Amino acid sequence: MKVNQELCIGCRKCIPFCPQGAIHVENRKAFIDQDECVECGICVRQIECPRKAFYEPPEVNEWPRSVRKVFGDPTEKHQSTGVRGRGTEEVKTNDVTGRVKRGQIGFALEFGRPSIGTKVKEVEIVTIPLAKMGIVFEPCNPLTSLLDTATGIVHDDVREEKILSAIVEFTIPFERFEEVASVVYEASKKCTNTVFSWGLVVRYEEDGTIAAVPVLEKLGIHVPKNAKVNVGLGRPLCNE
Amino acid sequence: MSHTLHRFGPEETFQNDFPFISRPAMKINHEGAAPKMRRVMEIALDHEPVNWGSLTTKQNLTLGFDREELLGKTEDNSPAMGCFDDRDKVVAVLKQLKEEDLGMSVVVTGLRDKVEEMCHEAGLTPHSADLALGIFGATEKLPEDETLCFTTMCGHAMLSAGLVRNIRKAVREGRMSPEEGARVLAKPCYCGIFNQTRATALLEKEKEQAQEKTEE
Repeated sequence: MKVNQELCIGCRKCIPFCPQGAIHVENRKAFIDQDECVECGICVRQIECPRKAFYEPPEVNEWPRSVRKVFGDPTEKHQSTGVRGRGTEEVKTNDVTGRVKRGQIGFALEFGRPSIGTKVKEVEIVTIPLAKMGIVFEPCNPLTSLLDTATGIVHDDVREEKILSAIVEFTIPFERFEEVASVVYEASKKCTNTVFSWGLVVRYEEDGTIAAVPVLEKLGIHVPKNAKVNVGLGRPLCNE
Repeated sequence: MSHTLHRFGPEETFQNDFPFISRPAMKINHEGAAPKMRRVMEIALDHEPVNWGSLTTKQNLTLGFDREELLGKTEDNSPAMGCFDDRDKVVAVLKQLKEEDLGMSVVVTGLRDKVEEMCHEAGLTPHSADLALGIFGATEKLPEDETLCFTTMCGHAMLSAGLVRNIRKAVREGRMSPEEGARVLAKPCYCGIFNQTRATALLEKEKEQAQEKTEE
């Protein structure tokens, strides 16, 4: 996004609204740091600019900068999945898709979240070691299309693009959980430029328990009480 | 998107916080789903969520929306998204959805044992869950915890730390009521999963603490 310099009166009202802190004022004119802007569009949609000086320039929709918008603006749909936001359904429809079945465990590592944002290349901290282990990244996730899935390396043209967040998503057999979780945990120590929020998609057992919980406790990973629960209303129901 | 999952804050602040999302599964049951999704929205809205939103119309309860316009613009892949601040209302919604058997997937976020109990009360067997294991990496770059409690209530990070800090300060200084502050903070979240009741309670606590400091 950009600020029309002829319209801006430098009132500074816009500064607090940018989630990336990318709006600055110099010489009584606001401008947006184009490296930091993730094209989320909140400035155009919501800032009550007295001169309506914010606008979307055409280059926002040109490759590779367009990557910022599809991962940053929740009102945009991802072409690859037809889903808005981060573009993946993960646990939300797991009762129908069966993406994670009993005996499996799903990882959802959301880079850039919360608040920080990330360059696309930062995901390599986990995708490269995971690819070496033969992990297959979720095809119905738009981040996967930005990777060489065999190596986990991000495509050259999008490496430096800054995005609000993107989810590294994959499913593994439960017996590999300890091994893979350890690799992710070790990789997290090298993640010095951004953060990631770690979600674990699990299937309830027939007795209503979650098999991963005691394993996490054994590994010393704190299991918080917050969870997103798929209540099983989707049809056709995947009961595997 | 993991969206409603990574809400940050002390456990006691989640007692009345239940983001609700329903959607069809793309390429499996999304074709012709619009009338079913409309019905899901009608049922949820009839039970008075604390917030509701739409990425299609770019509206939420705080910005104001026309219920009929929202329902009318529902497409086959439109999600239904909002937040409840009363567990009994969620149970009532789940019971009705079970009765009408619309076949659309539903996720409820909250304290896991509480949500599981609500499912059982509605006669449902929870299918799967996404567990929040926390934040890893350069956590020193994060805003302070008190600000994260608010910013993470927007699952798409549209609520900036800067705006939260301004509102917290205004409430502490008595220039704004906690209710007014919560309304301002709810605006950027078009999905309507920002919980104004929880935000008001957090701001009230902040105001009390500021008053206690002044009295000292």
